[in-house]
This record gives sequence, structure tokens and C-alpha cells, in this order.
Amino acid sequence: MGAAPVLQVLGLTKDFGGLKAVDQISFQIEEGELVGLIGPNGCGKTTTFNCISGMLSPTAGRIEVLGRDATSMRPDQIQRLGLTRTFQHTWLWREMTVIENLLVPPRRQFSPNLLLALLRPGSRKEENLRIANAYTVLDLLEISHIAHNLASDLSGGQSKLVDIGRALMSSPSFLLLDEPVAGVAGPLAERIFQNLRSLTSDRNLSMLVIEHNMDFILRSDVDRIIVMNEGRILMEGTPNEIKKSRDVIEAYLGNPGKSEE
Amino acid sequence: MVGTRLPLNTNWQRWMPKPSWVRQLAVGIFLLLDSYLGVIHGGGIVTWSGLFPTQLKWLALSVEMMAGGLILIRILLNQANPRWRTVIVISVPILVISITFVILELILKGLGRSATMNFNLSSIGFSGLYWSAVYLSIAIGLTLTYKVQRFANFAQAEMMLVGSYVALTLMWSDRFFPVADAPKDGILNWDLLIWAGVCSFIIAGILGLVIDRLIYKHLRGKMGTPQVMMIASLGVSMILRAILFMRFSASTFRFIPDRDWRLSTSTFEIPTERIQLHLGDRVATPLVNFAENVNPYGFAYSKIALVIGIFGAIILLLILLHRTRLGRQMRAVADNPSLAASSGIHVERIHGSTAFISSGIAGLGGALLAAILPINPELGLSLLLPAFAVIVLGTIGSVPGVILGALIVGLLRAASEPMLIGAGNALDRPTASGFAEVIPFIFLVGLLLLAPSGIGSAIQNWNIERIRKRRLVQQNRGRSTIGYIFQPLKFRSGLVTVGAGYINQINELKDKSQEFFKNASYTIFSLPSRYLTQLYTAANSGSKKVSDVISRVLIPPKSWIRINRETEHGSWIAFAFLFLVLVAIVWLLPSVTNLTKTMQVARIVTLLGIFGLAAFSLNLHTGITGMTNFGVIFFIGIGAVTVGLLSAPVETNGYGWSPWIATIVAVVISAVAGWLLAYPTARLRMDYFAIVTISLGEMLRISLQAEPLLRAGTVTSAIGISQYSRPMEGWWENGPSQMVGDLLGLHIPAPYVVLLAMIAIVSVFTIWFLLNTLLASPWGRILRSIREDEVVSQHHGHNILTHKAVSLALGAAVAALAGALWAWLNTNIWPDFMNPVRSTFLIWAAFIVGGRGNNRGMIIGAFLIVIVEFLFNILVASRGATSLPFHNMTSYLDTAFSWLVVNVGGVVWSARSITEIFPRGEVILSLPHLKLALIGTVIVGALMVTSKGLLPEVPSKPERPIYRKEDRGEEEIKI
Repeated sequence: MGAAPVLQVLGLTKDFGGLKAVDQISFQIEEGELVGLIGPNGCGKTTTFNCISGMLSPTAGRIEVLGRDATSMRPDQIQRLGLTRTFQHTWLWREMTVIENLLVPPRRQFSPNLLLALLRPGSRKEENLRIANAYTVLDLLEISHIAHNLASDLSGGQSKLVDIGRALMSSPSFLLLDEPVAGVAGPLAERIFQNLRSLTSDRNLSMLVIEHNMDFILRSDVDRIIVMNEGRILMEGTPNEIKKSRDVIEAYLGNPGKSEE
Repeated sequence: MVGTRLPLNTNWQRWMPKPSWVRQLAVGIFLLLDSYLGVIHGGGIVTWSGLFPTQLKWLALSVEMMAGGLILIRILLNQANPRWRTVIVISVPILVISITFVILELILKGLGRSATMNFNLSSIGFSGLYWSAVYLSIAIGLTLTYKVQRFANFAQAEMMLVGSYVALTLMWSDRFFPVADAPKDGILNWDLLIWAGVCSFIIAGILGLVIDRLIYKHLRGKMGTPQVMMIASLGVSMILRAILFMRFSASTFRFIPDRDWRLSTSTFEIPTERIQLHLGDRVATPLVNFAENVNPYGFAYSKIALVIGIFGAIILLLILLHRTRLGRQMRAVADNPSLAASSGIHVERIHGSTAFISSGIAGLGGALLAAILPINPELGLSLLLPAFAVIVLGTIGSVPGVILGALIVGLLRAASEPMLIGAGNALDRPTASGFAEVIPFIFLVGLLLLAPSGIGSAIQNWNIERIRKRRLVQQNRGRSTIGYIFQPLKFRSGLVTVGAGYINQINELKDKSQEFFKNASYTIFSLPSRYLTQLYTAANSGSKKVSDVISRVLIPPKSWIRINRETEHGSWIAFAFLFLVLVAIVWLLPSVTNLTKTMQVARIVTLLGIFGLAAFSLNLHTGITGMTNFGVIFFIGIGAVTVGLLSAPVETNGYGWSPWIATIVAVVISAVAGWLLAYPTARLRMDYFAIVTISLGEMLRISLQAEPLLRAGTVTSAIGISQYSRPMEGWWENGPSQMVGDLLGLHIPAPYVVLLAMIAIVSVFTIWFLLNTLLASPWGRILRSIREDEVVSQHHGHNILTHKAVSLALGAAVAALAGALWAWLNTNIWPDFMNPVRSTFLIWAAFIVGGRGNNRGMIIGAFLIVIVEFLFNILVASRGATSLPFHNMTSYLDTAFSWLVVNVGGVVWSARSITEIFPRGEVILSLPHLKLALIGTVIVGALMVTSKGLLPEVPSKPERPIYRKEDRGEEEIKI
């Protein structure tokens, strides 16, 4: 188990009608790695995420999550393998409180057998444990004060944080974060990235992060960066390698550091 | 899941990894073979199990065979090569119809009977054409509303009826009645027809515009979701229908533009052929033959008027959409409203134009339809649902798709009639042709189950692919071919441009008149409100001192309510307060004697139980899980019908079971139906789900009318179920009734309804407790997350299909219990009780007013509806004598109504149009329909004021738990 990479993507291709959104990409992510995925708008980053998380079924290729073939699995099955994702346009459950949003994902709180789940002794204790964990996550993200707000009342940045917190609640072994800090104020964004970084080392959590702001991702402490363009992987390497070939990238992408949504 | 846990089942484990379609294929083939065995050789599971008596056995066999066939089609659809998939999707209707024929053939063979179906080609073709025109006139408005405003407008069919009644009013007018009533002279008079068409277009259009301005605009401003808009349109349709009922009564009328239109010579004689199809036990006849000596089919001129009128209007609409500025703007708004707004399009004006055009075309269709079919306000729903079938078939939002869909559904409707008559006669079901009305829904439901994105999207994809390929070829060849193809079309486009120019001018004229109308209406509407505010301030200044004193003593009630209702505690307080108020109203309801008061209260309590349980069910489905269920009555109906049938005496077609066992079986059947419904529908869009559920309810209602197996209790041919036994009836009469009677001071044994009231109370509390426990558990949280966004829930590890299925099954079981209570309260079951206006929509009103997502609110909402029901019953009764309570109020209402119709309305319509409706000379208000209007107003009003209801959902806000260190488990996240 330990030897298998957390994520292995082999020849992933996704067509939309005539348009090839993702074209034959392959990469893999090892345990405990924090990898950035960058590229210009429409280069297929989010489509790649959607294919990995099971939202879209790929036209061709193979996806292995934690050593299991996940190519034709449903999103919930993939999540149960240990992969959790967030969305670019944050979708919280709006008419629920923040703390409730965090309480939905934990595992093993509902077995398909409804009555057994109800009658199982000690469920109150487990529920308390889940609530305590949710508050711990909120503390980490420095948003415990909004625990009782409705998710629909939050600002864009707060929603992003709740979304990250929600993803952490299912104790995943692999996180896909789609622009996790877009719209979060600068210093807090950096702290969040540091926290994410420490999560990867403390808990052997692996992450693949889409980030639009290239300067930011180069400054933050990622292990590797994958650069995509027009559905293909342009290059892959450590931040230093990417920095060195930055001229090449700029030739392809314009000046990505300044491009913001 | 269960199989893998058993140690013995190694075969199962070997079988599981096979792709799911292989398993499905095996199941499908097994079902087909097994049912074939059953039909032809009398074997198979269905026969051997011995569960089914003769008639049910055949039904079960055909269901089994159909299921097998549908599974095979589904596999074909899912596994097909993308290149062939489009072709297969388009041919799904044909495949399903052929399977139906094969099943019919086999069943008839098995029974040793034969059926003859007469397909008169011209008759089917041309009546298909006029049915499609009828459906199209509603569907086109639905499509436009969908495209631009993105919601399913349930009031569209009522707009059509408005058009019909405009035509009727014109016919009765002093100017035209001489024309309409003139003796037959052999000369067709077109005046009235043309006037009726134009007027109904304009009046229905203006009405649509006004409704849009008054209601939908407000909801759009509040960012109402499509669901809210859809429910509001349901309320609007109830109000419109009620107004039509009150003004034009429930009797049917026919629009006769001139008597000559009804001459038998006013038809086109169309030569035809009649194909006879012989199914089943054929002795000497072939499968297909042509009948001889067929009379030509007469296609009445009035039908031609309808077809030409509607299709002409649609062509104009297409030109408008594609060639004019307004059309471009409409398409822009449809595509992206905020982008359209920021590029300078006045979005609200586009919404207004859409509402005008959609309602106008429906009105035109209504006027022309009234010349063919007798019209009454009840017609709305039976035309609306096929129209939904049409737009779903044509993929919501595409105008050409809708035209195609209308043609298919119209033809299907026309062709199903001879089929049903032929099959019905062979199977001892002469009433089977009653099903013709529901064939479009059955088709729709089947289609949604097989190809959820509709045939239109398949065609669209195919078109995109074709255009793309052609582009590729063109890029290789150069552009010369294109010019060659388009040369001959230049002339046509010139014509279109001229037409478009005119339309643009008309449009501007329309815009100006609209502006004028808007200003005028604004002035008119603002006058009373200005007056009121002045009055209010005048009154306020006087009472200011008093209110100052009061406000020091009391917390302002408004903020008291607002602060508290969204907490658990405050919600209970508000509930108790409202409940006591309602109990006080019940207490004050007038009654003659002690006994009648007891019966009244017991009946109210039982009805509260029924409506409360139904509202719980709706709340679970819609308020918690977010599935818009417009078919509550479907599950209630399953409960009531099953209980009635199973506990009716054997001699009269029943099964003679004990009512308790029958109830358990009914609840189980309903739950299974809910569970099964989840699988094909879980991925459907919210509005499709609403349409499927409302169609299911209608199907069950029509089956109750047409299917002899669903009749029991009296002579077998009479419709309805009666004489079934009720729980503990004997026990009650032999003992407790006397005691309870004495307790209540009645001096006679208490009536059975008192026991029912007790049963109702017990079941409501049990279900309430059970549901609250469930919803407070993590499961309730998961369901609410599915309501908010099911895609995200799925990405957080929840199998939404299972959760939805459990929720549907549970809600269906609760509704079935309500149905059982209903059956016991009313001692007989008529198909009419399933009319959604009298059931589903009332429960929806309770749900909206009470507060979605809060079971306390459901009780309050249901209580309100029941009390309104009773108040109106008392009002109706009070007409009888001056001594009865509320008599004055009733006569006052009648006077006001009469003043409105005769004195105010008389300015618009002629005296004849009043005497035709109220032949006895007195203008009487139909109180049940006033109630309907009231309930519709309450729905719309509640949505406009706040979409949360009286007792809003209480968000769960768990506090940080306090722990000892050692309690913490492994699962903690260490960060």
C-alpha cells in the first residue's frame, strides 16, 4: 500500500463534443506531497479535477486513487477511498449553519441501515466528538466565531475557508483544492497555505492545489508544480526548475503572475 | 451489499465484479423469458408463486415483460456506440410502442382472445395535427417562460382557458350574438372567429403581463429560485381557475362563431384508408389488412382554423425570435440575464414581452380550441400535463424541438384511441379509452426514465456534430459549395426581412402601448396605496401617545416573533401560540347540538391528522430533501386504494382482509413505490421531478376511473371503492363507544369518528416523534445538504441515490398512512378525491404557509387549511336558512359578487353572458371556488412576503461540547 502513489493519472483525455479539454495527460502524486497545478484560463485544470473526482467520466485514460482504479467510480465512492475535493466557485450548503456544513462530511456517521444507525448506542458520544472536531478545524482556519452563521450570509473569503474546513472534516488522505485561497486576504492566505503545508507533513496528507496566481504558488512551499496549457502538461518540476524556465512559460502564458480572474 | 457479508455466497462474489450492464442484461433477459413462460405455458415465477389471482396474474405478467423490455432498451441506450446513440434515442418511442404491441399480442394469445384495432389513417393524422396544435399553444408559452425566466409556469393552461372564455364572452356580446345565433344559411361568417382570436390574444397577453409585473417581477427581485417561481405559478393557476369557476361556473360551453361552422358540410373530405390490426388468437385473419368501403374522413373547418392559427402564430414567433431586435434580446436574456443587462438590454422589459407573448399565444389557442371542444375550467390540468410532455420531449427551451414534440405527442394521442378501444374490448375493459387522456403522461414518464435529457438534446447533439463535420469538410474544400446552396434561398430571406421590418414596427408600437399601459396601471394601482398611507399617517398621529405607552410596556410583537422563531425554543412558543389560537377558532365554530359539536371536532381532528401526515410527507420530500413533489396525492391514493380494496368484502371484488393488515400492506406498497421511483428519477431536474410526480397522481386517478380491478364494494361495474371494513369498528360499538359517549355528555354511544380522531392523534404524534428523531440525527443533516446542493454532497461521500430513495420511501409510507385514515373517514373512495386541486395543492398550501423544513409548521399549516375548509362548509350550509350562523355573511358575499358581475363587469360583458351562466337569474358566488382562490392567494402571498412561512426552519447550532481529556477518541483531527 505504501509504495503505490496516492494518485496516478495515465493518458487522461476528455472531449466535449469536438473540443479536447484535456489531452493525454499523465502524472502522479506521492504520499505527503503538496503539488501545485497552474495554467492559464481554460487550459483544463478544473476539467482534470472533475475527471479525477468522478464528476465527469473521462473519454479515455485511467485514474488510480490510492492504488485503486477509480476511472468509472461515482464521486461518493472516490471520496470514500480518501479523496476529497473543493470547488472553484465555492458551493456551500447555503441554508445550513457553518458548523452543520462541517458536520455533513465525516465518515461512518450514517450507515445505509437507518434503524441500526439510530439505535446504535453511543451515537451521542460520537456526535459530540464530531462537533468537537469541527470546532477544532474552525479554530485552525480562524473562523470559529462564524460557526453559527448561515452559510448564505458569509463573504466570499469566509466561504472559501469553510469549504477547506469541510474538506478536512472527512479526514481525507488526499485533497484536491481548486483555488483554495482566491479571494482570501493576503496574510491569511499565506498562513492557510502554511497550515496546509504542515498538514501534509504531520498527517501524511497529500494535496493537489490549483492556483491561479503564479507568484503566490512560487513563494509558497510546494514540492512540485505541474504547468498545463491547452489541455496538455507543459512542464513539471520543483518551483526552482519552474522559476528557471519562467521565460518559456511567459512565452506561452503571457505574464501569469499578473493575470487574475 | 448484503450478499458480500454472507460467507457461503462465493458465486455472488464472483458475479459482483462483472460490469453492471451485464448484470442488468441478465436480469432483463430473465424477466422476458420468465414472463414469456408465464404467458404462453402457464409457468414462471408469477404463476408458481400463487400470489396473484387470475386478473392480477396477467397484469403482473405484462408488467414483468414490460420491465424486461425497458431494461433491455436502457442497456442499449447506455452501451451504444456514441455514433448510434442518437439514432437509438430518437427511436426509443418506436421501440417502446413496439414492445407494447408485442406484449399485447402475447397476452391475448395466452388468454385465447383476439383484438381488432382500426387505424383510420387520415383520421389519426389529422386529429393528431389538431391535438398537437392544442398542446403546442400551451407548450410554446411554457418554452418561452422556460427559456427566458427559467421556471415551469403552471398557470399557462389557465391562460388558455382565459382565451376560451374571452371568445365565449364575445360570442354572447350584443354585437356578435346575432351572428353566432343566426340560422344556418350556408355562408361561413369569419368575423367573430377573427375578432375572438385577436381579442383573446391581446387580453390573455395583457393578463399575463399584469401577473408578471405584480408577482413574478417581485419574486425575481428577491432572487426567487425556479422552485419558488414554479410554486407561485401554481398559486396563480389556482386563483385564475377559481375566478373562472366563479364567473363562468363548472358547466361546459362551446364557442360557435356562426352556426354554419357546425354544419356537416363545413368539412374537408379527405380520402382515407383503414388499417386493421388483428392481435392475439388469429384464426383466419392476417396480422394486418386494409378494410374496404371506408368513408372519407371529414376534417371540420374549425379544426383547420385551430391548426392554421396556432402554427401561423408559431411561424411568426420564430421570425420574431430570429429576425428582430426583440427576439435577439430575448435570446440574450435567456442565455445570460446579467450579461444581457450589463450590455444595455432592459431585462425586465424582455420578461414582460415574454409573458405577453406566451400568454397571448395560449389565449389564442384557447379561443380556437373552444370552437372544437366544450370548455370548462376543469380542462386546464388535463391540457397542461401533455404540454409538459411536449416540452420535455423537445428538450426544454428549444422552439423547433417543441414543434416536433407536439407533433409526436399529438399523433400518439390520436393513435392511442383506436388502440385502447381495440385492446379494451378484447380484455373486457370497454372503458379503456378513458386512458387516452393519460397516454401522453405515460409516454412522458417512460421517456424521462429512459432518456432523461429528452429527444431534443439528442437531435441537438447530432446537429452540432453534423455542423462540425461539415465545417471540417468545407475547410478542406473551400467555400464555393455554400454559396451554391444558399443562392436559391436569397429570395426567401428577402421576404423574411420585409416581414421582420413590419414586426419591428409593430413591436415598437407594442412597446409604446405597453409603456402607456404601465404608466396608467401604475397610476391606478398607486392611488389606493397612496390614499391608504395618508390615512395611516393620519390615524397614527392620533394614536401615537397610546402606542408610545404600549411600546414601553411590551416588546413590539413583530420583533418578538422575528427574534424567536428561528430558535428551537422560540419556534415551540410560536407553535403553541398559533395552535391555541386555532383551537380557539375550532371551539368557536358554530354547531347545533352537543353531538354535532363532538362530530365536528372529531372530524376536524381526523382531517388535521390526515393533512398533517400528508404535510409531513411533503416536508420530508420537498422541505428537507429538496425533491419538488407535486404528487403527494399519488402516495395518499396508493394508501387509500390499497386499504379500501384489500379490506372490502370478497363478494364484491374485494379481498376481505383485516383493515390493520391491509394498512400495513398499503404502507409497504407505497414505500416500495417511493423507493422504486427514486432510481429512475433521482437524477432528473427539479422541475422534471415535479412533472413526473403530478403525472403519476393523474395516472392513478384515471386508472381508478377506467380500470375494473380498482373497483370494489358495490356492483362490480360501479366506479369507486366502498363497504370496506374499518379498524376496531365492532370493538368500538360493543364497549368503549358507550363509555366515551357518557364521558362527553352525549347520552348516546359516541360515533365512530371519535375513535378515528384518537387513531389520528396517536399516528400523528408517533410519526412526528419518529421523523424528528430521524431528522435530528446525522441523516437529517445529510438530507438537508442534498437539498442545498446534491453534487457537493456526493463529493463529500454520500450516495445521494440511496438517501433520496430512503427519503422517498419513508415519506411515501407516511402519506399512505394518511391515505388509510382518509379512506376510513370517508367510507368510500371516488376517483375525484385524487383531483390535485382538492388534495395536493391544499397540502402544498399548508406546507408553504406553515414553514418548509419545520414539522411544527406542517401541523399549523394543515390546521389552517382544515379550518378554512370547515369555515367554507359552514358558509355553504348557511345559505339554506336565515336562522343559521353566518347567513348574513354569505348573503353579503353574494351581494358583493353579484354587484361585481352585474354592475361592474356589466360594463365589459353583455347581460346575455350573465344569464347564460346563471340561468335562474340570481348571481350566486360559488363558495368552494372562493376558497380555492383564497388558498391560491395565500400561497402566492406567503411566497411574496417571505418564503420561509409562519414557523421557519430552525438551523441547528450545536455548541462546542465540553470534554474530559480521556473521552477523546482516535478520530480526532490533530492539527
